[in-house]
Amino acid sequence: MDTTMRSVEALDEGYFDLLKDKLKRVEVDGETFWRAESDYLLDEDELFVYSQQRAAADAVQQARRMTEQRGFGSSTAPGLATADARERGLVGILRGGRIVRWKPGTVLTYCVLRTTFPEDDRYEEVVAHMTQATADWEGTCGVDFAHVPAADQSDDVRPGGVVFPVRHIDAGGAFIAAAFFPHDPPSRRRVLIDPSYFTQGTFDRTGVMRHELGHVLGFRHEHIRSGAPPVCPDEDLGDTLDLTDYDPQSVMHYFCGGVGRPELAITALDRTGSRSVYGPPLDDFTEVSP
Amino acid sequence: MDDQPPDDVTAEARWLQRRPGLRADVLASAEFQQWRDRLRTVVVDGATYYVRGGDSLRDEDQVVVEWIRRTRPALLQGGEE
Ligand SMILES: [Zn+2]
Repeated sequence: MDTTMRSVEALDEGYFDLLKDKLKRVEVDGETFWRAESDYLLDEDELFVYSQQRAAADAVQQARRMTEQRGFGSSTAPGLATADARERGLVGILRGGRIVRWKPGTVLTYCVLRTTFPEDDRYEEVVAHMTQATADWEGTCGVDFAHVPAADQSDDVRPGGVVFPVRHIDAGGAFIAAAFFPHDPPSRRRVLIDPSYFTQGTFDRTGVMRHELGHVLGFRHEHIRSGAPPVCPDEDLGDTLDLTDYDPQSVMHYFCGGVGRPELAITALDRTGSRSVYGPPLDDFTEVSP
Repeated sequence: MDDQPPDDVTAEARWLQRRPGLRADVLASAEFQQWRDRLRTVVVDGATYYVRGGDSLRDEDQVVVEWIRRTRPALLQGGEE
């Protein structure tokens, strides 16, 4: 795509220039990339397409605000994909035709490996974020997490006595944090945290942990659905199951195409979807032994 | 009903173990190699993983199956188990 094409087709050339100026510039093997959505590197052409999609998403949102203010019913701008296209919030995983989840009664024990963190402050920060993020999921659906502080001191990157460790690893910014799914092999059960977790300014850090724990519980990305803005990264959709309507605000939705939220909060649809797999929070019950 | 992985092997590795010719074909394909070589990688505890979806680490067998799903989805009908 050359510059002439751009000026003819551009919805908003100014937005492209603004993003070029605003986004972090990264040189890789002599080529210039711009870092978008915290973990995507776009070359100049990709950045242009991205800027046009963002401009389109902004136009849709602006149209929606205007119609809401005026009391009109429809907010769809002609020719533009809507951010709230109704598709079928959470996306679960299927194996052998059945939904993947942790066995009822499972206590998802974890530790935060202190020795992997370069500084105690960062270790303590992650412990606090994990405490909050696990409590948020426990208050949402029937899951149980437990921190095992004694294992935090282990030198073993796969310590015994916990389902998964949380550890710091320098991945060169390849991700902010990375997680696993319930059906991943036991040796791959770990939540990894890159130094960029502490330096990125896009996402709420506890929100990042809520998102990663969503994967640990078996939920895939929300933005891989057909209703998500096209600029959102696509993924292999094999063996997935839509658990609710598409939810652009989902904790499992990246901040892409003008939708998603930097707070990565658990929404009402996330609650519905996660309860369809794990039931209501365990605290909702008075347990009686036989 | 499975309630845990029976061993430390991914479902994709088990599926490919039963189809060694297919695995070899994909690994030898120039298109697959070009696609795979563009993926971002990280090394964790000495093993190389491909970063997929921004925050998921997949091994080589898993990206082979992803490639098959993208290019020859009919081969995957019937599941990966
Ligand atoms: Zn994710």
